[in-house]
Formats: sequence, structure tokens, C-alpha cells
Amino acid sequence: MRQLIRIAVEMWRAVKFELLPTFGSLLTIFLAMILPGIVWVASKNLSRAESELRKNLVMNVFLTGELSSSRADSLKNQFLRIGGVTGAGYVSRDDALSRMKARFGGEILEGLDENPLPSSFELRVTEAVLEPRAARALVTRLKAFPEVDDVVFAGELLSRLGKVLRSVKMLGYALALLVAFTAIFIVANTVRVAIADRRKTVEIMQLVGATRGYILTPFVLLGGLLGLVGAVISVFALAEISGYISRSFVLIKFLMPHEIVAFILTGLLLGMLGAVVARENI
Amino acid sequence: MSKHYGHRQAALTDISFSVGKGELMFLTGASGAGKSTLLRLLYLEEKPSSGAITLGPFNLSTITKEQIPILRRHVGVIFQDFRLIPERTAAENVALALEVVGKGRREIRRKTDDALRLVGIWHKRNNYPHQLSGGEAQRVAVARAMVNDPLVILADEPTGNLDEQNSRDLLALLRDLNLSGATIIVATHQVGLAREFGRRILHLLSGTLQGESR
Repeated sequence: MRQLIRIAVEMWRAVKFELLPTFGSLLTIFLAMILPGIVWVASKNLSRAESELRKNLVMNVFLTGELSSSRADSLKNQFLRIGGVTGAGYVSRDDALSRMKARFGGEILEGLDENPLPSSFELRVTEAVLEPRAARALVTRLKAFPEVDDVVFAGELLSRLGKVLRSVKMLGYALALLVAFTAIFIVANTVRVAIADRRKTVEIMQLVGATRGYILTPFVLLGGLLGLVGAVISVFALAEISGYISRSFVLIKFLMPHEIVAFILTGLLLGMLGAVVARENI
Repeated sequence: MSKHYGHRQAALTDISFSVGKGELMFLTGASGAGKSTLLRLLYLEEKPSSGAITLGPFNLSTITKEQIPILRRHVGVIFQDFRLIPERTAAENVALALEVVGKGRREIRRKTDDALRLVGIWHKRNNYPHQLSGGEAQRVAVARAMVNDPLVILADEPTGNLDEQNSRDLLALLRDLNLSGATIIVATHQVGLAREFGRRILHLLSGTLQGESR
């Protein structure tokens, strides 16, 4: 306890004449950490969207006309025999209309004399079909049926989403790396200034036999505290941004508690690392 | 032992002497004679270029960087410019020497108070260095130097910033400490003042030992 008080007092002494630069460092760390935080939240939500899409991977096979129940059953069995197709459901024109009304309201179809929607099959497919060549082969095969008018598949969208996701993740990694270096550099500079300011004190401490660890501990913890507070402010800002986007545009999922802890701990570690980098001054 | 900087600039040449336990010795010479360099070698701010220095159980020539703080806990140093930490009170400055060796709070309090009483500055224990006169600040520095019962107290021009009366008082204080058992080496250019104490005086001239007197 006595040691903790001593360290806290030394930390305060280290910054009390440098409040403005310390605040500046804190602000820079906050700004530096919020960028990868945004990318993290974005990639997390894109991943979620992608996995949702994967779970409901459906190929829509639009038919030229309405089928009788027996013909629909026979066609369904033929579809199920095709490799990559795991399920098939017939959607009659009436079913399609009721679905549309349920989704968008009846007004959208007002003024139309007859149901414009075609009948279709919804095929559940395996993830292997996501591969563009496999998807093309399946589409060609389905189109070969005389009853089939067109085939629409979200696989391409999914594969594009996957590419975007990979890019976002790469950007996240690059930013995280950049931020790690920036945070270390900023903290190292702040601690260097604090050490320089207390050069006389440090020399006197060395003179009376203080070890390097004794002298450095308050500075390392100061660095850690800067990183920690910077990260905490970033988390609050991220939560605000996420909340705003959720309220105004699209519902997005924020970081989980353990992810928040990891984010803050990263700030703490980067800060301490920055102070360790600055230790050469002692 | 010798100390030189580069090839030509010799700060100290073939210096050899010993100081007995409980001795008060003066080291005199003009500015640049090598007094401060000699003391810096003793508290390991620098290492000798050749030769060996032994301080109690420590061989300063073979000591490692990690061992330097340990040695310094056994050496009390007093400077002309006091070297007190400005944001600490007199008592806190003295206590620092005990804190770094990990003494308990009560022991720190007791020893700090004893040291401040001994140097006659206890009543100013809560004053900050800027609230002390030169003589008072130097007494605090003396208290800090002796509070750990060091093997030796090194005083580098301790009276350099003091008037004549304060200089005499300070040297008298060092003599009293010596009488109670402390080993003390005082570097000063004031030979006359040193002679008043009738103790051994080593004379340095341009980095060489010229002889000794009382």
C-alpha cells in the first residue's frame, strides 16, 4: 500500500507541471485508438452479416408458369438430386404475393389487375456453391430445365462481401499496427519529457541508491495510465458512434464486454511499452 | 589510481591514499585540481582509467552496473549546490535515502527526525528547499547523507555556496558527526578553513597528489 501511494505521488509529481502536454498525449492516444476500434466494430458487423447470409444461403429459381402440385413435387425431387442442393421449396404465385404483402404492405401492388409475381423454387445450397465456378455450373444446370425462366443467387454478393470483409480486416490489422507504433511513440515522448523535467530528481534518486526499477516504475505506470485512459475514452466514443449509427441507419452490434476489456488492456500495455521505450533516458 | 579523458587529458595521475574508518580528512586544491573527479570516482559516477579503489567491502573497480545503487546506499554525498528535490519537504528529502532501501514507515519517520535533530534543522522539517536558507539547505543535505549510517560521507565543496559563518558551522557539524563515528572526506579549496580543524589534509595539484599536512 505504501509503495502504491509512493508510486501514485511520484506519478502526480511527474505530470503536474506538464498537464497540457499530458492532456495532448491523451487526446492523441484516444484519436489513434478510435480508428482501429471503428474498423473492429465494422468488421465484426460485416462478419455477422456474412455468417447470417451463409446460414440462409438460398438460390431462387423462377419458373415460366404455375405448376401443378404433382409437377412441382417431381421437379423438386429432380432438383434435390443435383449435387450442392440440400433443400427445395415450391413458392406458388399466390405465396409470393402474400409474402410481398406481408413484407411491404398491400399498397405496393395497388392498381395492378393481376398478380405479376412468378412462381419459384427456393433451393438451399451448400457453401461449396459459393465458389463462383460451382455457382455458375449449378445455375446453367438449373436453367436447362424447360420450366425454369431465371435463376437468382446471392452467392456472388456473398463472395463480394467476403472480399470486402477481408479488405476491412487487412485495413484493421494495418491500422492496429500503425496505432500500436503511434501510441508507443506518443507515450514514449510524453514519458521522456516527464523524465527530462525530473532529471534533477532522478539524478538525486540515483545518488542515494535508488535502483532503476524504483525510479522507472512510476513512469511506466504513468505510460500505462495514459494508454488506459486513452483507450477508455475511445470505447466511450465508439459506443456513441455505434449508438448513433444504430439509431439513424442500420442496427449494429457493439463490442462484447470481453472485447472491451481486451481493447482497454491493449491501451494499457501499449502505454507501458511506450514508457519502457523511454527508459533509456534513465 | 589514475583517471584520464581520452589519451591526453589526465584528470588524476597515480593517486594513492587510504582513509581510516572514523577519520575526517580534507582534500584541498585549486579549481580543476581533481578534487571533484576523485570524489566522483568514490561514489561511482565515474570509473578509474587504471588502478583500483576499495571502499569497505566493495571493490569499485570490479563493481557491476547493477551493484552501483547498492554501493551508493553506503555512501553519503553532499554537494555545493545541495541537490535537494524541490518538490519534497526537508523531511521528505531526508526520508528518500531510507525509502530507496525499503525501510518501514515508522523507521523512516524515526531516523529522519533523528537526523534532522542532529543537524539542528528539525523545526524546518516541513519546509520546502526554496523556503530554506543556504546553510539550512546544506544541513538537510548533510542529514540525508548520514541518515543511512554510510561507510563514508563525501562532501564536495560543501561550503561553496555559504558565507563564512555558515561555512564554519557546517564544517563544525561534519566534525561533530565524525566524532560520533562517521568517516568523512571533505573536498574544499578553502585550505585555511580546513587547517582550523587540525585534521589530515591531502593537497592536489593538477591531478597529482602533492603531499599531506594537518
